[in-house]
Amino acid sequence: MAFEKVLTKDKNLPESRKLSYYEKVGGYRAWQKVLKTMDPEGVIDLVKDAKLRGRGGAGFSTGMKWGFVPKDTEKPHYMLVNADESEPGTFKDRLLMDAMPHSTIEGAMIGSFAIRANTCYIYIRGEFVHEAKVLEVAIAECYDKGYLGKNIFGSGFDLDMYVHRGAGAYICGEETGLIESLEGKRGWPRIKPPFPAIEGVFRCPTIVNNVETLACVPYIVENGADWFKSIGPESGPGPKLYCISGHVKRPGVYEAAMGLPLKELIYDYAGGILDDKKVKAVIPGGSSVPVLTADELDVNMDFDALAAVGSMLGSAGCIVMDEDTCMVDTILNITHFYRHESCGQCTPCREGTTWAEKVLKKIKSGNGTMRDIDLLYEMSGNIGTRTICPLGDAAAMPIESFVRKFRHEFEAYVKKEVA
Amino acid sequence: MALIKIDGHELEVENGTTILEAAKSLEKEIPHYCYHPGMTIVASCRMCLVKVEGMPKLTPACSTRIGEMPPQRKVDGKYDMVISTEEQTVKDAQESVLEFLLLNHPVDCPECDQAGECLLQDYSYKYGKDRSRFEFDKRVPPRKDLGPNMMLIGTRCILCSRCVRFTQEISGTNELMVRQRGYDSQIDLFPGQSLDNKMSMNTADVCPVGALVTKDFLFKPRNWRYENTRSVCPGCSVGCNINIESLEEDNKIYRIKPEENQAVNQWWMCDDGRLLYHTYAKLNRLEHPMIRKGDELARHPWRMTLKAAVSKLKSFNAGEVAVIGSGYATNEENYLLQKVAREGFGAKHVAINDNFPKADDIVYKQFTIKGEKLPNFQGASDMLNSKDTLSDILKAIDKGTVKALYWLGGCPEDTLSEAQLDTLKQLDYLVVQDIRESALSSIADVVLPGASAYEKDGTFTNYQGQVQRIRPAILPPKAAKTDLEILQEIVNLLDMPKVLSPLKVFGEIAGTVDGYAGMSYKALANTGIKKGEGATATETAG
Repeated sequence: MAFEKVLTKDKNLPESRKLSYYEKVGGYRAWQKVLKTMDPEGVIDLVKDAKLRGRGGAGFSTGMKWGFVPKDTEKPHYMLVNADESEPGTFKDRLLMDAMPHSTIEGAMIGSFAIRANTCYIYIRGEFVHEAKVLEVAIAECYDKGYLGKNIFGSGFDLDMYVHRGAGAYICGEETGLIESLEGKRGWPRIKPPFPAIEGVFRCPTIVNNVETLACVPYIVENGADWFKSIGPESGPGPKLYCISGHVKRPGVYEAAMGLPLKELIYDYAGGILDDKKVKAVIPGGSSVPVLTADELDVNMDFDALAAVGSMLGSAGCIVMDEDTCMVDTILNITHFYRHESCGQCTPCREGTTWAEKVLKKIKSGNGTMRDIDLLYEMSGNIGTRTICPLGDAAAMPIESFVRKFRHEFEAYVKKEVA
Repeated sequence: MALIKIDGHELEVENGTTILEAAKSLEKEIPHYCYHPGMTIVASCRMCLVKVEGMPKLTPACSTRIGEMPPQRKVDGKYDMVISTEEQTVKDAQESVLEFLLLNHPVDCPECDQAGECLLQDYSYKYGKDRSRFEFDKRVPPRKDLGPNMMLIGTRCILCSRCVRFTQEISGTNELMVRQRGYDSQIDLFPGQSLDNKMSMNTADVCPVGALVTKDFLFKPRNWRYENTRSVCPGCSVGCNINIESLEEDNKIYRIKPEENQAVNQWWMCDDGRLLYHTYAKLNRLEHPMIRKGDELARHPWRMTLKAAVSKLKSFNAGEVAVIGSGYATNEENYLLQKVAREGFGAKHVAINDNFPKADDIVYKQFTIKGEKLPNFQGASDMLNSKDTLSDILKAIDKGTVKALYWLGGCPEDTLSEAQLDTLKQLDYLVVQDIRESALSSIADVVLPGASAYEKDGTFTNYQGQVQRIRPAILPPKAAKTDLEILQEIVNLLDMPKVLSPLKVFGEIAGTVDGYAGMSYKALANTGIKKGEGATATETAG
């Protein structure tokens, strides 16, 4: 069955930002259907049945996550939209929010209903000034139309939605860092448990969902779980936005079914490698995931297939490197990013990322030794899995995979074979 | 209850116990920096990582709680958690966290005041590598004057955030923060703030390394040279448990730090109490027994002085002799004082000195400094068993019914007014047993040099009725004696039954004073017993 675009089908800037346009293409029918005909458990079951998995990186079942919110608590519940898209190589949520803000908003409304939240915050990356404005306008339209506010369509359900702009930290895209930041504190991720579903923002039950995840929800409500499951692999189906950047002819965001063959993404969608050079390496899921070599590209872009080859789908931010790319340079750049973005709370990440960057600079300057390469590799093991949040892993996995798979390039610097 | 196994040892623990607490109950050390039992758990130093069977990653012992598992999830069919704190992966993690912490540390132990009581030092010896693989310039955060009593030596900081949490959660004064991010993170004051709250020096205690240091303990002899004495702070009626560090060679106190007592001060004490030893050290101490000869007080041997005082006091008619007890003296001293007064001199007036300025309590988020400054006002009142106060005695002196007075002092400052002194001058005979030269001692007929709370053995009863041991860290100056010793000699001179030690006096107190029944020094142990709970406490102690 040929794939038909879902999330970006009606992208038609600037018209598609407007509520009137979104309604014309079927928008907010799902929201009304939910309010008029469904109960929260029904929504959760539907999303569970559709096997929707989080698009933010971890790939956890969205319906199951919603189901963790306790039903017997007196505390208010909160729905948080994670729009802090900051993973290098990732720019899909930005496109969605700019071109189709209402699909995310509608998904957030349905999610709020499912978890019985009367307040929803969209935590948006501080640099996304334009997108924040687009969302503000879209939310105002929804209040005017009665999709938000008190007693929506006489259902008795109240919902308020706010846009909250971040202050420029990558770590605030980690859900508990986001929660702390939303509370007005330093973006220091929390220890889990308690998980946010039990104790999140303001110590109340909270669900944090990625923009793209929520954007899928109205379509599931409209078209049913079976329709959703008919797209892509059984274990994690649905339409998917792929970001592709680096040495390709047509970088950008492409929508296809989950499980798109990586080579198809590179050679068909993105038009192949610039100047028709050979590909050397690909980072398939944003800069934090292990790199794939040219020999490992026969893989589908989905959670399980990429996990099977030792990498991750992550945020589906695919970074393509051609045969002339210096891998030492690349990992130095990536490590610099994680060093800069480490919140500094956990010892291994705070100290390790800094040390790793220094060692990489030393190697790159031609003053490195073989021992430095081993040290770097060992250090990645001492950072990964040893921290509160996954930033430690995010910093460690690329280092580990670059050194393991491209060790000869590091050695070339040590042996002064590189100018 | 949950059944767990730690390094092969079986243990039953309450649900919700952390691995760290469980290990502690087995006296098994799991190294840690950021965890402090009195503050929120942040699990950020990553020093306490341990292996839990079934968990894919190492897990922090400080924040991981043990709970009863459903039968199908029990390990080996019976354990709710199986923990290893000793296997190689755990040792590797400990070694690597220490390596990370030491990368930028100056290792300036030879000039660091924390040396000898530094967790970075101790853990490096036990769990660390013996050399550094770091060959770059170290980070040099600044040295900062944080407030009247505190300094920050930023280079030594390991960013455990205990100090920040202390100001947020215990003092509630919020002066400190972590500023910047990641590698550039450093402890700092919020703009315009000074770490000048009266709890500020606790931040040095909670600092596991030498980053936060008290100005008072800069460049003093190394901590391992001191004698350590567990006692009670004489600064106010809270009765914080303290450890006094002193040197025998010069009979001086060098530092006072709080000791944990959950019933009294938890882990904390105020800066006033911590620095109070300076006040005492600067006092113009009474050092020799003296007898008045005309206008002059002249030194005399103890025995001669006491004989003179006793025979003079006995020469008055019953009822003409009065005694003043002291909230600065121990329960034992006050008890013996009233006994000597009533049984030896036939005194009818036994009063407590309540003539002190009243101050308000200073209330912090989780700690209160009492305005009642006398450390044992409660206990002295219990022992003296009298409704009379100083003003009653002064009235009786004015009326001429009281002609001789035995005054037990101990207060480090003057509190008597000119008018009160004038009244006291009317006395035929005044015995002053005190620690310092004062307007009062200058009008005395006999002066008996006593001891401060840092110099004697006994018990204090705090404002809540907690009866606690105080112990001598240093000796009274020159010929001065503890007040109990002085009173014991008077007992001997009066041919009353001898009581040989504070312990024996306390035994008598336990047998006679309301609320103290069942207590003994053994049962008081380090943390004391609340009044009225002596019998139960002794039973439980077996």
